[in-house]
Amino acid sequence: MVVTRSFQNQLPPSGDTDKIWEYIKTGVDRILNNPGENLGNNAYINLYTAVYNFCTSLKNSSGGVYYTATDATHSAHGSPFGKHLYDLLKQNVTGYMNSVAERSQAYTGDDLLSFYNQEWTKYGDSAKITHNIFAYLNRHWIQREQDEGNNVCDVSTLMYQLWRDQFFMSIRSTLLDSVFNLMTRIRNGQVADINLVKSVADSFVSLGNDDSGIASRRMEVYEKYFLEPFIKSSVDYYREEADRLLQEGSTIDYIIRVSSRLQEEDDRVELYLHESSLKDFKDALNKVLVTRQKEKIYSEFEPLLDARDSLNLKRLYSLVARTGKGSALDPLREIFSSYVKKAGLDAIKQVSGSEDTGGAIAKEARLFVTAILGVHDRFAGLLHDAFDEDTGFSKSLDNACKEFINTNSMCPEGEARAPQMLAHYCDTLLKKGSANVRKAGAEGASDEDSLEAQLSQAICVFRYIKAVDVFQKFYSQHLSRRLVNEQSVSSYGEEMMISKLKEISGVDFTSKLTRMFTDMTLSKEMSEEFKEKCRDSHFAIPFDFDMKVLHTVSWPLKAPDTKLMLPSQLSSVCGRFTNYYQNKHNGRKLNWLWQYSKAEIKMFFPKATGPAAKTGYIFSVTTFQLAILMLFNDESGPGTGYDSPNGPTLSMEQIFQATGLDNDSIKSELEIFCKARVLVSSNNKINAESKFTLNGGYKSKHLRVNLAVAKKVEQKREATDTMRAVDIDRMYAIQAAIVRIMKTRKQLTHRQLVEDTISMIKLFQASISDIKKGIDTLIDKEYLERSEGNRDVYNYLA
Amino acid sequence: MIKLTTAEGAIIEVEREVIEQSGTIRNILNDVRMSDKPIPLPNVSGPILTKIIQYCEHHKNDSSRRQLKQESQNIENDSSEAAIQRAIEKMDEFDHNFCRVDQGTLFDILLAANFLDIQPLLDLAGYTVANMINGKTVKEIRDTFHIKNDFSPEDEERVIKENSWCENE
Repeated sequence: MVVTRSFQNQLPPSGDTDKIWEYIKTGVDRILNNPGENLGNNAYINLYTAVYNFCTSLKNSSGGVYYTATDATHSAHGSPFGKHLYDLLKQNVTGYMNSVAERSQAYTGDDLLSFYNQEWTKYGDSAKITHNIFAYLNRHWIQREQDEGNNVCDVSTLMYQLWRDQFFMSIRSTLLDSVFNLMTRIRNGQVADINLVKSVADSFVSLGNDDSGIASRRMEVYEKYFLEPFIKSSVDYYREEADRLLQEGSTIDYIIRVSSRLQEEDDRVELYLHESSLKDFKDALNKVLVTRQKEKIYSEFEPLLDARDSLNLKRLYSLVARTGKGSALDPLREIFSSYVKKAGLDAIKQVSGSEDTGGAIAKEARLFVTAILGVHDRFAGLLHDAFDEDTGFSKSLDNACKEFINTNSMCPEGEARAPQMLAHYCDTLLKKGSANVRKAGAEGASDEDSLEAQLSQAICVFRYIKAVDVFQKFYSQHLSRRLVNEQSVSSYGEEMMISKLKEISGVDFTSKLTRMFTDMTLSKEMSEEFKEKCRDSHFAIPFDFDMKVLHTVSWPLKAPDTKLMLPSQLSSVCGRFTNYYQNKHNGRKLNWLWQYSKAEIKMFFPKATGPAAKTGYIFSVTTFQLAILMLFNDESGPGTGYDSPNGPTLSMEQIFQATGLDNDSIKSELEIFCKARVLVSSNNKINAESKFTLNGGYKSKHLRVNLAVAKKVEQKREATDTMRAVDIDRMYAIQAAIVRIMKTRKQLTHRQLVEDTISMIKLFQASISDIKKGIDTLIDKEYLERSEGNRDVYNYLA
Repeated sequence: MIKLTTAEGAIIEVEREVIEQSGTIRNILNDVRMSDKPIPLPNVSGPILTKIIQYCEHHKNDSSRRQLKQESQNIENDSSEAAIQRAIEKMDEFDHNFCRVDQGTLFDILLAANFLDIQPLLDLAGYTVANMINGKTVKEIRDTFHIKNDFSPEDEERVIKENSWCENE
């Protein structure tokens, strides 16, 4: 307190620099020892004034300019008292720092950390106030020295330098030992004050405010004297722990333990380390705990996949991902890919050739797709739960799916069965009344929602299909059937599927499909218009008539193989429609596709009982069947030429005469009729000798009977036809691609042309032999020629 | 309000916002935190302090001080004549009138601005003085500032010789 009181004394007169310094020193000592105690306005302004007076001393005492041309050795700008004061201050603070260093000797461990932090905080305040008291020195003498490039720093920086050089350097290693000691206790689970470490670390950062002032070197003190040794001691600690853990327990235990250890460190490190060094610290720990043991960690991956242990898989993934998302994860991604592939192949093997398919492609397709989805969903789930949606893993999954979906025990290489089955599966989803899986949809979900979900699943498989052109062909085949037979489960579902396909494969891929829908709409309008026309001309259509006009290009339908003479009842209406259409669209050719047409007829059987006696049976039949059945509708009895009470008895020859159908068609239809016992054969066979007549005693449990059933043989033939159509399209696509390439390049070697063609064709993978064939065809057609000099080079012929 | 004690011991009150243009006062207020107690300014007389407060009042709404500092630095790097010219152009009417004082007062303002660390005012006063020197011969300058020639003839001759490079370009 003596200090304080003497300090309030009057300011010494200016000019007497020794006295003034005495005065300043007393003040500075007070600030250093007790920065918390308020100086008060008077003392503060007096100290400031004292510094001012000291710096301006010479002028006041000599009363003249001291700079003369002869006296160039002096500092060009300021009084030499600036330097004098600076040196005095430096000397004084140095003394103080030494005393602090001396006092610190009494402490060790946490006490030393506490002492250091306490002194540090105090000193920070002192430095700030002292800096401001010496503001005049900062502003003038120091500023000018610095402007001239001299190695002088402002008062605050000077004070931190002195702390560093006079105190910190001498206790640095003891201080760090105390820090390590404290950290070890915390890591061992003991309670200790992490803030002590933080304050020390912070002080190291502040001490970087070096006289050099170079930003890049600011962290040097911290990094060199704190961070490096700190990381080293942490790495040592964990190396020992890692070795112990692996000796004592399994690798899984190690993974679990290390995961939580690293998490602890992650959470804690932000509490005390400077943010710039978090990465270095974490990297070092990752290296010692993960990278050093990576082989062991990798080897646990497959067993965990087997065990479906997504929790530990996540741990394992996160550990490895910590060391970088790039190459460190690659071995895992490879294991994952081949694992998924194997799982997929196994799953398909399990359902392939299983008993309950009975060879029906619809069932087979469902098992196939379900198996794929099972595997895909399982690993996609894992990707989400355990692998953080990592893009590398996602790619591995995609590649694996692509491989096992396209070639497996159900889909032999090169046969493009996968797209066929997927197309079938889509058909079962979208076809009315098919044994679809929709029932399995989640309860409570609306039909549309569950349909949408299932279509999305189908699309998910579609993304992996290689020969998408095959899918396209089969899909359009199925779609045409659904539309022609009006069997779509909902137009919403159809549109949704088309738009999803468009999204993935582009407008070209779906344009034909879209056209089919347009035709359907146009047909509906035309049908209305036609009926109106009939009404206007007082023509009564004797039955419900509906037709669809389909564009040949867009629809995968063919004209019938056989002729057909329509029953008169039909031909009048159809003839009328043909006329109407040709008036409307001059020059268009209308082909009637009888084999796709259907009719419903009502038949009364004399011996029918129950409701059937009154209402008759309703048969759904094809046009061919209709034409045949109508023959049996003629009256029988005296004068009719027929004597059976059941109407006419006809041979196959007679049926041919009356319908014009070819033999095969007649035979297969008669087979159906006899099997359903609508007709009976005189010799129980179907051959040239057989005579057919209506079965008067026909009976059925159902009033409505569908005779228009698709034949298995036909289905198979259709598949072959479709594949043939695909092959033809592919040849055209290959030729088109070759021409396009050659048109721009003019000249190309065989190898280059093959490569370019393969990369240009996206819908399927063009085989080299097909490309060769394409080239040969084009040479024949004189689009290309072999170069004269070099047979391996082709020229484009315009 | 902040109370300031002049060299004569009189107390002048001024808004904190106004007087904080002085770096010295700003430091005291922040470091000591006794804004209710008077702050003694033994180096500044009442009339000069009043002048300085007038200046600070007028400039209290000036854009950031940093900007001013930046400008003055740019000016320093310029050729001195152009710099002075520009600084003078920058002065508003208040500044012109503010500097229209006798030499003694002007120098006192210069010293007080230096002591109180009010950089723009220091610049203003400095430029005003510089402007008084600009374009004058040595003799005229000596007359203006009442400076006795204390060079010996030999000294003077040498100085003129050494500095001849900057004369009469």
